[in-house]
Amino acid sequence: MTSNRLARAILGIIFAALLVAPLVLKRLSARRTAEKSSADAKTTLARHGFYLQEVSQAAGIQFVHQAPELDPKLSPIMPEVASMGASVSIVDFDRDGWSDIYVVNSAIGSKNALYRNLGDGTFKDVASELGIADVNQPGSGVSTGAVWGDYDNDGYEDLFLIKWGRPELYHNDQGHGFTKVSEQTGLPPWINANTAIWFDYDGDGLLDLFVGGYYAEDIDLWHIATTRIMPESFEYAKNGGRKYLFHNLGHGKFEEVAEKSGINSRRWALAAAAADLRGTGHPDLFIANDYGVSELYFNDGKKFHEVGQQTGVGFAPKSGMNAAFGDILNQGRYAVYVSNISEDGILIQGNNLWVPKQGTAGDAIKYENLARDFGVELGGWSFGAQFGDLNNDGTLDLYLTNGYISLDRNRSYWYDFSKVAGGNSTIIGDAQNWPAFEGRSLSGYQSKRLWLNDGAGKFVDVAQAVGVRDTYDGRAVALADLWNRGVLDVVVANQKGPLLVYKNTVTPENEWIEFELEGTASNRSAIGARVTLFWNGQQQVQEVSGGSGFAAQNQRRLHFGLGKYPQLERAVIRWPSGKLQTIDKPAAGQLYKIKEPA
Amino acid sequence: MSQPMTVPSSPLPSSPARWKQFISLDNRYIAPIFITCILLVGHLSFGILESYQRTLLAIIVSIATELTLGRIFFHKWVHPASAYISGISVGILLRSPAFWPYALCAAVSIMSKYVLRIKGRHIWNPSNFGISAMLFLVPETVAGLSIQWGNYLLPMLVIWVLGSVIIWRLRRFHITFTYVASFIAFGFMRSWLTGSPWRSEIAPITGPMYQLFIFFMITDPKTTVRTKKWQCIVVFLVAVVEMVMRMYQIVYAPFYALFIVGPTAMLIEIWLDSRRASAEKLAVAR
Amino acid sequence: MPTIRVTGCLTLLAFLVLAGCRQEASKPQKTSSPQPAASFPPPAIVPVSAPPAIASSTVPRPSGPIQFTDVTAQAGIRFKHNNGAFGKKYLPETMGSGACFLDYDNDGWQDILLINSMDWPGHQTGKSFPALYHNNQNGTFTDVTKKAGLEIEVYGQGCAVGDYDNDGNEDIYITTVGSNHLFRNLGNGKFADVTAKAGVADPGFSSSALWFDYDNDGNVDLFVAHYIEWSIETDQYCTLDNKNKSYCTPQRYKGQSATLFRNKGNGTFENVTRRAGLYDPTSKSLGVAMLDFDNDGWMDLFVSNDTEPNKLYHNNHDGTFTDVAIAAGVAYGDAGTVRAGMGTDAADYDNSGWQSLVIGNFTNEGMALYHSDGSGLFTDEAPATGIARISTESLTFGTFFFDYDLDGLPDLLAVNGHVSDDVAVVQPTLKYAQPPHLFRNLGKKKFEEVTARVGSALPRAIVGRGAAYADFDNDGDLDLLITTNNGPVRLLRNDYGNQNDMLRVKTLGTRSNRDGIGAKVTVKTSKGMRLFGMVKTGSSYLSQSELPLTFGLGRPEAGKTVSVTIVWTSGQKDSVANLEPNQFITVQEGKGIVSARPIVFKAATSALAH
Repeated sequence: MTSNRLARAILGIIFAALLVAPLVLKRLSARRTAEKSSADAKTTLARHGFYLQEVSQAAGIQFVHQAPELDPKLSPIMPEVASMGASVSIVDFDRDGWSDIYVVNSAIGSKNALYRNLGDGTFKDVASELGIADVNQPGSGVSTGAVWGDYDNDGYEDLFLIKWGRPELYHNDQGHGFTKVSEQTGLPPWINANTAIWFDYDGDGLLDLFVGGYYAEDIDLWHIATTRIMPESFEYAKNGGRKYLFHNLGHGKFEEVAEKSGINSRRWALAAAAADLRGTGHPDLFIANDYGVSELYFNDGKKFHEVGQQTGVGFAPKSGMNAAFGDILNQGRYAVYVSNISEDGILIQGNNLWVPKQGTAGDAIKYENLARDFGVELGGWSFGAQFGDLNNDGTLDLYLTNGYISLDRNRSYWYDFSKVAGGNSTIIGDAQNWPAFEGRSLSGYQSKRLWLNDGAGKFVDVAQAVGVRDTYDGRAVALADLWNRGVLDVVVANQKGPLLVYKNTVTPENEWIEFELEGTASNRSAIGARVTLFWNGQQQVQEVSGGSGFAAQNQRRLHFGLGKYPQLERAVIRWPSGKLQTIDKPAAGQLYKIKEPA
Repeated sequence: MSQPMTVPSSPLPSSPARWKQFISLDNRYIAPIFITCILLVGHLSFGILESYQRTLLAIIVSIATELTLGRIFFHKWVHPASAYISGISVGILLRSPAFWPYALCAAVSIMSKYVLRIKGRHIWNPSNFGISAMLFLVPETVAGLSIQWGNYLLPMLVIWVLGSVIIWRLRRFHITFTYVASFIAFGFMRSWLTGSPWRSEIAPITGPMYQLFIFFMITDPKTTVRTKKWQCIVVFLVAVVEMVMRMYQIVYAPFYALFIVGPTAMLIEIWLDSRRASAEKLAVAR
Repeated sequence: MPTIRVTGCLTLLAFLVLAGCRQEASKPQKTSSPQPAASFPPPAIVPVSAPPAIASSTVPRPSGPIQFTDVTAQAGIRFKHNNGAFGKKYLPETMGSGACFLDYDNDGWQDILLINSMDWPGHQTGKSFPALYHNNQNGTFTDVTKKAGLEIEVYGQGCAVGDYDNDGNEDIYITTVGSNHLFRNLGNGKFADVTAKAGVADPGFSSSALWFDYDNDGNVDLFVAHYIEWSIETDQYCTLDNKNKSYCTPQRYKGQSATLFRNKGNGTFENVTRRAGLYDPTSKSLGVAMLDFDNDGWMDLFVSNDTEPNKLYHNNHDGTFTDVAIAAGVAYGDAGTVRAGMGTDAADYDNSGWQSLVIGNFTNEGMALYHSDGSGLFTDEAPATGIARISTESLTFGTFFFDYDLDGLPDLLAVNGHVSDDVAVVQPTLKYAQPPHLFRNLGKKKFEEVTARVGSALPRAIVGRGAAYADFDNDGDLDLLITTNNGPVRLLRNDYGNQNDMLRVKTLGTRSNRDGIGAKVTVKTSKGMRLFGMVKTGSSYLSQSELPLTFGLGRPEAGKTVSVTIVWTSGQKDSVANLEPNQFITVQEGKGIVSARPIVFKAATSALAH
């Protein structure tokens, strides 16, 4: 009997210890992260190599995004249904060598803004003069994004306006103005989309356009016929908007071929990005879907094949809200980052970092989710994220913005949200059955993440330490070298919040090199062109994109950080036309403007 | 989780229908098989599991812990069916990107049976204890199962019908029924009090988290009181406490409600028993 | 033994419960971010010059979009104005109340005085007192009304703060519907009601008041504006919908003259209204501003009248005033009609060296922005700047100039709210509660409305009345205090306004009055900026902003220095040169700088508030 009692006592102690252990570990790790984040700028510069300062005011940018006011029938849950729309894209619309910023507004009657970079550190809004400001007129819906691409190869980037409403295509007239050409191009009369990208899927040198619908396209969100507009499921919804693939036929004409080409999905698309994932020379298409699994389409130059399940990325359903590519291990292969939702104790989806499995490649490529291992998994209610070398140390870092609905700080909608999320589709598909928001927050006021890549497969969050301390409801992130200093600055569009411009200061010891490409046989924007840089015995590949992240578009230039004392071997450019070009021993600290050789 | 009790004395009819024999208290495998069915249906159709590995880990740790502790304290190899059910419940109900919560939860659940005992009975349903503890202590790493059955009503109805039949054969249907009726009634009351749509208040019970709760956790014979009447009353009280918690916007109200009410009922019953026993002793002694 | 097991279980349970209480993660520490020098090399294929070395200074600069954050609750300010309304719609109910910033205990941190009205006789439900909030220097305030001896029940309207006895402590004058009160600051955190001794009870319907030295004798005198002749017995009946009583317009009542009290220097005052030429029983005055519109060194007065012509009283240097409003062009609106005229302020908003005027008017009237051309003539620029159009649907009470973004161009705040709670009956597009307007001064006589771009706290619709500004958290930028009729007061903290440089100046008179009221301060920077300010009381509506002056100096630049010139009311001129920006200096008449405190930038530590 005594031995039993002794055993019981010991078991009791082990039992208590097991329950306490996670708490102890939590306290210890919290203290460690707190220590790490307390430092002054000099230390930050020494320790991390860079710091960021928010300078929108000083740069002359005072833009605050407005959200749409939809049909009054949706009033009780208006914060939820009108929670997206903020978007920002970088473009040099007037070809003066300075990156400009186009930011959209999402309320009827509100104006978008095109901040022209004056080259002296400040920006000026010229959208009104150029005719691309007043584009949210009643009856035409509201802007939710914009992507730029030179569809007619005349050297000037044209504008596709993504909307919940009538999508528009504007031709850039030599940088002096814009002409609306939507009618001629055959765009649909109404879409409810949040994502679109320019890419040349068939390699014919003309940019094609992919648009992913969110809400079904027959819904006019300002005059809804029924309140059954919500997703039918939180993890398996297929009642969203259709996808569009506009094949550029030249001479300003497009043909819609999504279904014909094998893109036949009604999932709730939120983010799309294209890159040549298998080295076939054709860009494959990755779509992050809300309320369901992501989709990956292999492109053979004519048709698309959905391979989400077989490659592993389309299996576990989450709330995908971002798709960005990055060669994070400097191995010449892209990893894909998808944003999801994580809220302590209620819903921990965790963001996905799809890394190609070692030993798999080409059509047999498989991806595994290593977000947890790399430390980039928990980002709150995550939205836009982009890869970029922010401290020029030679490895790609990850900037993430988050935060869903910031209203009353003291009351949360999570309880009501989880009630509905657990219910049957007949219940959640109808907006009437959703509890009213009543001014409560839903994952609001969240801290951002800036994960620094240490080169060895671990990312460390240094956001607070380097100066990113805003808690707005972040949506789109775009990276660009705004002041031509060889560093990547960060522009963030916030829902119902100001446009933030984070100016980057990087230690001069870390060197860099930038490439600006122009196609001749390939599309003029050089979207889809890959540059693989070889230096110090390693390589990094980057691809020019026509939109990536969430409702965002980075600068067209490819920026490579090189670290200290780089020994540059060569840069290999693979043009979309198939041409290969090598630049031997490029010099650091330079911007290379390269035109595709004939 | 429910562990079918051995039926000692009631004689079985000489030639029972095969299916009746299959679904009866005799078959201590019925509950494990049923819960595995839920798991497979859910996962193969919708990928309900975080991953095979995590669930498997929970099951293995659960069974290993049970066998070890059973050996130490009862000097025999305890039948692993009960541990299997606890492990698989943890595997389904717990959602975490990490692995260690599954192992920890499974271990803690089983251990609770051996540590938290009064008068030879454990008072907490093991997986209820484990899951409630994890949700309460480490919410930043774990969350509960919150998804629903997807677009189709059919699987949910199948589970409901199958579950009801099995539970009825196991003579515990009244518990499930009382709870569901109370939950729905309280759902309407909450809707009336807070003004939120009644469908949203009822919604949670249509999800798999609740199926496991109403068919397994609250019907566990080892941790429910004896008489039918009192079983119904206790589970009604669980619904009451859950109602109060939901008014305070606690997301995992059912788990916490059972965590509080279940053992309390057990303790009261044990105390009443011991009083009756000593009273009887006195009566006999006199 | 069962006991051990039970105790063990219970202890474990208790432990689990305690363990579940989570600790707040420690907040991130303060970080200092130094100033990188700006450099914009042109884009080219030529190697770009290396980024310049980082100039590291020890002063951390916050950076982010400028926001006003509502910190009333976290500051601990729980005041609610009680206008005593019980259904009879007595006119005074809709007029109050005001608020004043003052540093009553001289600790360098601005405290807050809030004026309250009270229940009407026969309808008492409780006691209503004003509130004096002591600044605890950490973002919170403590209610010290009782301790200070200010718990009086009066039908209060506004306040004016000034050191009338030149003892170094700020005294308070409270205007009421009834008798006003003068509270002398005893210096130990307590006040004494010296109204009777001083002879400044001035019964009637008082509105705004201000302290100023009109005869340049070194003691501040007191000007009290009056509104209308009103009493409960003579309350008029008006209706907007022919069914229910509404608040009447002042046109149904006779005006009441203002009062000018001359400070005799011995703690008593003498009523010199008639002698000074300020007796006017037709005036229905609500706002007063002191200014020297002709720069002759003698204080003039601007009085805004409701439904009567405004008054511009020119100081004749001999103890008398002459009203030159009509000649100056500020008496009537552009169309030659009288306007409402509630809040008002005078300031040099275009850095021309001459003070201009702003007046808040009624709905469908638009604000007035009278720009001075230096010759004594004013032109209403409100229509040209767009301010008139934007403010058409607003009924503006408290209004003033203040440089919220510290770019050297004073911006304009207008606090709005209708007087009739049933105004929608006559004009459905008008609302009782209205959001304020913040107009950003873009220079070259252009203003831009930015209310919706400075956070979500400012554009909320309220029944606004008084307004005052001060740097209550001593971080260099100006915060706002806004009162509402029969409602709570709102304290809005300015975040990131201090990303630009500034200079704060406090004046200490010796021959002139102790506060330096009336002193004119000119600030020049080595980068070519030239700014003008005057230490003043009054302005806005029933309210008073802090006495120290804040000059916005624009973008931080290396090597920027500042020079300050002060012309005191005594005629004395003092100059200080080669100052570093971002300081709070105190200048004593005849002596120069007697104290200088660098501005501490705290906003860098907290998350961008919104």
